[in-house]
Amino acid sequence: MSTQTEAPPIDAVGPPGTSAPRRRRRMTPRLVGYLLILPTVVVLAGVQGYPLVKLVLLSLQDLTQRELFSGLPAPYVGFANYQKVLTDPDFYVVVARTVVFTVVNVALTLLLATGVALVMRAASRWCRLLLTVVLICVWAMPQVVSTLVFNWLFDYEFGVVNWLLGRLPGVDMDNHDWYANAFSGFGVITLIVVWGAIPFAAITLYAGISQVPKELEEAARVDGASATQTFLRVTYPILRPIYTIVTVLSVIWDFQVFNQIWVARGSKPEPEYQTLGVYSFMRAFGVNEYSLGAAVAVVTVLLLLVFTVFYIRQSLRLGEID
Amino acid sequence: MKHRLIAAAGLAAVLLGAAACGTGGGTAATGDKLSIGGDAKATGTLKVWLQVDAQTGWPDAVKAATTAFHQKYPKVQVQVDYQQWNNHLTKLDAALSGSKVPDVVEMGDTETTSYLAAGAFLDLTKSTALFDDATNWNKGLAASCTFEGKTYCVPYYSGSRTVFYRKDMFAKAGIAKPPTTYDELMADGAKLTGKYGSDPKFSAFYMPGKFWYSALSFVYDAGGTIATKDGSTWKGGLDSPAAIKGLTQWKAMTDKLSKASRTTDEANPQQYTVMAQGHVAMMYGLGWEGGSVAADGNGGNPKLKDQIGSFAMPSTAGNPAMQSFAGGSDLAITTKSKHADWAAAWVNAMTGTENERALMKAGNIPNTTTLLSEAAKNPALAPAAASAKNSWMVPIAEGWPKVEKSLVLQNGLADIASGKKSVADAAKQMNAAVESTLNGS
Repeated sequence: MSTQTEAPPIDAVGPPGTSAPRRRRRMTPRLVGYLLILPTVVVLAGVQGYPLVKLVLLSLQDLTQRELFSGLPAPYVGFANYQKVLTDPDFYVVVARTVVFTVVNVALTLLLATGVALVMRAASRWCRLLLTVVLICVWAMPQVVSTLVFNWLFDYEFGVVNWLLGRLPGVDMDNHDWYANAFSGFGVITLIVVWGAIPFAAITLYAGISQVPKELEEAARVDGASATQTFLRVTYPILRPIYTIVTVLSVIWDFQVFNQIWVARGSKPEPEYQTLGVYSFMRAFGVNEYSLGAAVAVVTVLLLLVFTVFYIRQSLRLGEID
Repeated sequence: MKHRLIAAAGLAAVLLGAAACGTGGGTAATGDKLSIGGDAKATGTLKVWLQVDAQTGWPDAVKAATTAFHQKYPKVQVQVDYQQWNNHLTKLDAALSGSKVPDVVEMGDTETTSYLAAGAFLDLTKSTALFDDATNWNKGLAASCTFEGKTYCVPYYSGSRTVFYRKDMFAKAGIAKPPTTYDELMADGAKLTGKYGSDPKFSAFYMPGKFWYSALSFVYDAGGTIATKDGSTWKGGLDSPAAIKGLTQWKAMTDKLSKASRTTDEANPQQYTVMAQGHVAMMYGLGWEGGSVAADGNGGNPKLKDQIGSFAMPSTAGNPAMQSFAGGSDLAITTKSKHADWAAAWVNAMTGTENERALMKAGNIPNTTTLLSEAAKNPALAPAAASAKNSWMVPIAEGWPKVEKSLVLQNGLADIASGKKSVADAAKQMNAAVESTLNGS
């Protein structure tokens, strides 16, 4: 619609009284389009763009408590903060940890959400309604609250998980500390993150699945395809654009996960629990190296940007999505 | 296209979260004498940040201070917000960078240095005479308020740790009197474990892995230090043989007597609430923590009334008692406060002689030597008063708050307690981190 720049001839010959307002509107559709998007652009520039510019500036300065409290300008130090971040071996460990965490969490989220979406399609009406309500309730729960609930479930002294597992014969789970080693600790955190991420992914995927024409799948089944084959060869290709969106969003969320780790570790995450988001926060606000934390945040954004651009281009090329 | 837009929106949300720092204007620090004479017509709100200890330990003293303040400023509202130790500095940093600041802030005596250096608090040097008995301020606390010869805060209270124990459990385990030597302590611990060990949650001595005030008391007891100043640079002491000996003893004691988590600290969960649950025979705590075990409310257990006693922590090196950390708090007035006069009046009410007596009753060491000698005469307070004289302090360095905030000690100790690292390896790592932070690199 926005490419249409010429008014149809009928307007030119129509009665002037009725066609005048319509003509005016049609003569400048491009301008109207820009005008309509202007408020959004202004809001985005103010709410998203300004902090981003401040963040980049901050990462080029050396802001300490002294400047923070007094309001004096912080000196510019060029790329010194980036140099410090990128030459710190700990940083690469944190990046690697974040990547592994993201891959595991996104894969689990997509897998389980696909399962839930398929169940929703197959389920009866009331069961689907129940599932949707449950999913929305989970979705509506603030991350801090759900993490605290999980913390109580996995509590060291009084946790119901330890108690339950302890009922199994031969299992001693009294005072079992789930966070004592980072592997089982991240297991609990993954549980919290995936649990909270499933609703969005499942509902979005279900919306897509319910739009897949039944005839296509029926035809495949008539041709002798198994359920798995039908899903992989027929349903999945149609859903690919939706999978792309859900994957990209999940990667962005999981890559910068913060609340769950922060709350689960009692706002004192040990080094082995630090992913990029937590690491950046600890740098900036934990030890008051604000500029160093900002540099870490900028690097995080760049990493995500590179991934997103690459992934979406790849998907566009492969799937020819609209 | 749509998908790119959605992705871009998501990306932008990432940036938002990361870019929460701001800058704010402020007024220059003035060292003029304050006046706290009172003003019956003044209206407004005085914002006070106290630590959560006051909320559970001595809420009446806070109320009394506000009542006294209202005699001078009857129309000024006093809003007291209670802060948690584990995040109050982060919140304070954020608040001080803006213009809506708290007027009065409680600071731990190990946390002040970098804030004094950064000019966060009002210079009170010319106004000290306004505060009760200021010439006799507790020396350790007064030192934590002093930077380059000027005074920036008012000593509030200090506390030292003693052992709180269950009298009934000791009696049932056949222990006639509290231990006075370390060997007796360990033997009594073994007796208690023998008596109550069938309870899988039972700790003869509750000792969480990140309880660094306790672990470092073992270090100082064995003759070690955190760091000492050598000319202009700090020399770390945590990898010295004495420090390693202390840490090894702490680890052995923890392994033998404690079922506490190796990855939590004494405040998370509050250790007095754990003792109140009834699975703990001894804990190493501050006076108010001991008092809170049997309190009615706030997680205390009134059934344990009259069952909680205290004794000085015995020394591993044969000294009369183990050195306790000289913890304490100061009250400061922020430089950006628009009501420094009101703030000073409230601080004086809170730290005045009468109010400090109420704090003493709650198990704290008062802020002046005058009151300390009063406490020493009171049999209930004598052990705490004595242990206040036998104490260790963290290095007085501008970089020290950063050491605490970076959690290197807590994390290193958790590694020792959980057995993830050997004492020597963890000590070496902690030492390197402390040394480089103190020397400002």
